[in-house]
Amino acid sequence: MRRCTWLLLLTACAPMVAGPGRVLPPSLQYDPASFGEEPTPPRAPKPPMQTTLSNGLQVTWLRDRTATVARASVLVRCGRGDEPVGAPGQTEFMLSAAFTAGAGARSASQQHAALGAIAAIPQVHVDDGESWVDFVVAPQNFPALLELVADALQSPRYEAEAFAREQAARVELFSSPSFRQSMKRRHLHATAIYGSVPALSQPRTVEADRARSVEQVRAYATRCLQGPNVMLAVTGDFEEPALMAALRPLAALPAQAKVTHEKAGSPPTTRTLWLSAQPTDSRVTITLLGPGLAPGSRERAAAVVLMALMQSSLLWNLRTRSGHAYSLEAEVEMGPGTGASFVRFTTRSEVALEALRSALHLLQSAWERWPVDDEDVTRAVRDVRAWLARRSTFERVFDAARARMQDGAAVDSRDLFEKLDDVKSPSQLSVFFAHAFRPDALQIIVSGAFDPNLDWAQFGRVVKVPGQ
Amino acid sequence: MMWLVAAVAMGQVQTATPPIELVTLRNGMQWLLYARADDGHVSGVVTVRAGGVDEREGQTGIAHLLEHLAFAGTPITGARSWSLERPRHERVSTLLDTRARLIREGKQTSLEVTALTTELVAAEQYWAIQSDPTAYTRMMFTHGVRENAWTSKDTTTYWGDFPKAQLHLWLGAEAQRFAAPVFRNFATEQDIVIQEWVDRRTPLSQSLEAMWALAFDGSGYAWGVAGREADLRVLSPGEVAAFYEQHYAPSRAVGCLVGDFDVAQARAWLDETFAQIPDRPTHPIPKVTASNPRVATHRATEALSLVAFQWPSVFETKQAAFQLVGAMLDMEDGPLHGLGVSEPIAAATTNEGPGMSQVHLLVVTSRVRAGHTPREARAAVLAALANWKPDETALVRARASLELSRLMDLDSRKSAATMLAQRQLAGDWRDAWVSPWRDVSLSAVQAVIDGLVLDKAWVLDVEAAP
Repeated sequence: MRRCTWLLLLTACAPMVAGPGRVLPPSLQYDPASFGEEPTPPRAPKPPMQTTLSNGLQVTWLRDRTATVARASVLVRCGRGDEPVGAPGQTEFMLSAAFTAGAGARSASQQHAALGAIAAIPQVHVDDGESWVDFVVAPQNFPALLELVADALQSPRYEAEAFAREQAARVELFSSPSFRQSMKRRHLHATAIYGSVPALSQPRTVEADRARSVEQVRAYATRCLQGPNVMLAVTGDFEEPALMAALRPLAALPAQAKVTHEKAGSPPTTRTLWLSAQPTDSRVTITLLGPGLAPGSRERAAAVVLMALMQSSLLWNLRTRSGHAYSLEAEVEMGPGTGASFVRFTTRSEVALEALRSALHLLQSAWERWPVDDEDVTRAVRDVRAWLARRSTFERVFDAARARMQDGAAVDSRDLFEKLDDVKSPSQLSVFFAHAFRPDALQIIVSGAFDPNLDWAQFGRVVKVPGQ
Repeated sequence: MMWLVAAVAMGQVQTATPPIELVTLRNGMQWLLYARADDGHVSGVVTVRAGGVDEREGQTGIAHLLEHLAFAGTPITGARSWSLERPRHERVSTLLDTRARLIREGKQTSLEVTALTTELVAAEQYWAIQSDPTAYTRMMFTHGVRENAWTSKDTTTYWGDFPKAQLHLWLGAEAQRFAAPVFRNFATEQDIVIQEWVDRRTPLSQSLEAMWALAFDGSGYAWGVAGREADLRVLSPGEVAAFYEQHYAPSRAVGCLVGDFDVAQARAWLDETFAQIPDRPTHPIPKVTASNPRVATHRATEALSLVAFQWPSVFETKQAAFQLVGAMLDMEDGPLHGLGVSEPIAAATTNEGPGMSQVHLLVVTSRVRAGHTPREARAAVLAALANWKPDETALVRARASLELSRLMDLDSRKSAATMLAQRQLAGDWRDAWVSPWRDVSLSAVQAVIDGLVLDKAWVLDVEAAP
C-alpha cells in the first residue's frame, strides 16, 4: 500500500499521541514500510586485480577512490597448525618481530622510528592455516610502508636485544587475567574440535614464550617467508605505480618450498560438555561446536546461508523460550583440518541451563524434522547477498586474497555471491546442518559465571576444565 | 522553499574539502548531505545533543535507557491498533511509574508493590497482544537496513546503513521515532541496560567512576554513561518521557547522509519527513565544572593508581597540544612505559573522559604490581612525567598517529557520517578536514607537560580489598 492510501486512512485519527509531548504530526502518519523498495539484487562486487610474481608471491589489489587511507595486508601461509609442537605462538612472534627487531639495512630502533613516522602499526592475526599483518597509513605514506614491508619479509634481522624485549612483553601479557582468559577460551575451542591434532590444540603458555630462541624463529621464518607462501593485499587510496615499484624487491623472496597442510583427523563423534568456570565474568557464554569445512568445500555457499538462518532465527527463539539470550553469533570456519562451525550465545547465569536446554531442543527438533522451507531459503540468501554487497572494498580484497591463499580452493566473497544462485532448496541446507550440528556429536562449551552444581551432565559427558 | 537555508559548502572551503551540502530545515534541524560513489549504499546518522551530561542525580543512565527504548517502535510501527494499544500502554506506564516511586520511598517489600507487580504482569501480557516491540527492528532488517545507536556523555547517535533504494523508508521511520517514540517493553529494556551495567563492572571501571565523582562532584560529568545501578533500577517510563521531551528537539539534532544517493531527492524527502517535526524549547545543556584537585582513596578488588589532569574540550582550539601529549603518553616507548625500570612498580595507560565536549579528564591509570602500593605507583607516574622531555621524533610520530586517526574517521560511510554530525553539532563540519596538529611546536607540547604535576592532579589511590 502506498503512502497516499495510508494518509486517507490515518488522517481521521490525527493527531497520534504517543505520550505527553510526543505527537506524530498528521503528515508523518503513514507506514514507512510503504516506501520500502522491493529488495533488488545487489550488484556483484567488483573483482580485484591479481598477479603472481616469478617467485610465486601473489598480489591482490583494488583502488577505492572514496577511501581516505591506504591499507595493506601481508598474508602468510603459516598458522597455528604449522607451529612446531612445543612452540605455540611461533607464528605471531615471527611476524611481530619481523616488524620490530630490525629488517634490511635498518636496526630495530631505526625500523621503529621509520614505522612510527608514518604511524604504521602492524596488527598481527593468526588463524589455523594462515596468518596476516594489517597496516593502515595515510595515502602519502603508502610507498614508505611498502618499502618497510618488503624489508621485513625479505630480511628480518631478529636482533637479540629487540627479540628479548618482544619476548619479555609476551611473558608480561600472561600476568593479565584477561589475556589468560582469552588464551584459555581459544585453547578450549581448539581442543574441543581439534583434540586429535597436537599442533592445533596445544595451549600457548608462558613457559613456551620464555623458551623461544632466535634460532627457532629464524628457522620458522625461513620456512614460512617464501614467495609461494606470501600474498600482498592492497586497497584504499594508493597510486598503482607505487605498488608496482614495491613489487620488485618482493620478487627477490626465495621460492623454495610451499607450506602444505595435512588434513586433520575425524571430528569428535560423542557429545561432550566442556565446563569452564570464569568467576570474573558476569554472564555465561554457550558455544555449540561442530565440524566446519575443509578448504575447497563445495558446500561453502549453503553453509553460509544456513549460518545466516541460524543467526536470525535461533536468537529470536532463544529469547522467546528462555527470556534472556544476548549477542548470538554463528559462523563456519575453513580448515586446514576439519574446520569448525559454531553457534555461540551469551545468557544470564540464572537461566543458562534452561537456555542450553532450549538451544539443544531447537537443534534436535530440526534434526528430526527439518523446519526450513523455500521461503526461509530465499530470505536467507537475500540477507547473505545484502551482507556481501555491503562489505567494504578492503574486506572484499582481503576475502579474495585469503581464498587464493587457501590454494584458490576456498570461495571468496565474489565467488560466494555467484554461487548463492545455486542455493535453492532447503535440503541443501539440511545436508550441511547434518554435517555441522549433529546433536549427538556436538561439542558444547559452557564458560563464564554458571552454577556448577546444576545438572549439566544431563546434556552429555562432562569435562571440567581447570581454572587459570 | 522546502527548507530555509541550503548552503553549499563553497567559498571558504579548503581545497581538500569534499562537496558536502549543509541543509537547515525550517524546524532548525541541520542535515549534511555527502554524496560519494559507495556501491549503492548509504549510511545515515541522527545525532542529538543529549546524553549523560543532561541527567540529574537520581536519574543517572536515563539517556542510555531512552536510546534502547527508541527501538521499540512508534504509534504506527509496532502497533496492531494504536487506539486499542494506547490505553494499555498508558496503564502499564502508570503502574511502572507508581512502582518506581514506591521503591524510591523504600517500600519495595510492601504489599502495595507486590499487588502492583501482579497487576503489571497481567497488564503487560494483555498489552503484548496489542503491540509488537520488535516490529521496528524487523521492518528495518527485512529492508536490508543495519542499524544501531550509541550514547555518550554529550550526545546520542542513531545510525543506519542501507541500500540506496531504502533512503526514503529510513528517513520516514527515523523521523517518526524522533517525533513520537513509544516506550514498549520498558521492563525488559531496563533489565538489559542493568545487565550491560553489570557487564562493565571491573575494578578499573569502578575506580574511574569514583574519579569522575571526585573531580566533577555536583556536575553532569560526575558519573559515567551507564549510570548508577541504584538509579537504573528505579527509572520509570514517565521519567524517560520527560527526559525525551526536555532534550530531544529538531533544533538540537544534526543528521548526516554519506554514500550513494541523489542530493536533490534527499532534500525533498527531508522536507517530507524530518522538517514536519515541530521544534520545541529544550532544557539548556549543563555546564561542566571541575572541583579543586585533591587526593582520595578508594577500594576495589585490584590495587590501582589513578592520576587525572584537566583536559580541554576536544572542540577548543588549544586542544591540539593536549591531544599530542595524550598520543605521546600512550606510545610504547613513552614516559609511562616500564615505570620503575629495573623493578616495574606499575603498568600504566591513559583514559580520557567521561565526556569530551566540555572540560574533562585525562586519567593515567596504573595497575599496581604485587609488593608495591598505589602511593608508590602514583609517585612513579608523577616522577616519570616530571622528567619527561619528548623530542622532535616523538612529536612527528604523535602527529602522524593523530592525522591517521582523523583520516580513518573519514574513511568509512559510518564513521564519516558520525564524525561530520559531531563536528557540525560543535560548530562546523569543515573542522573534520582540518589537521590542527601540524603547527603545534615542541615548546607548546612541553608547556602542557609542565602542567602535569601533583598540585593540579586529582589522585585516587585504590587499595586492593577482597
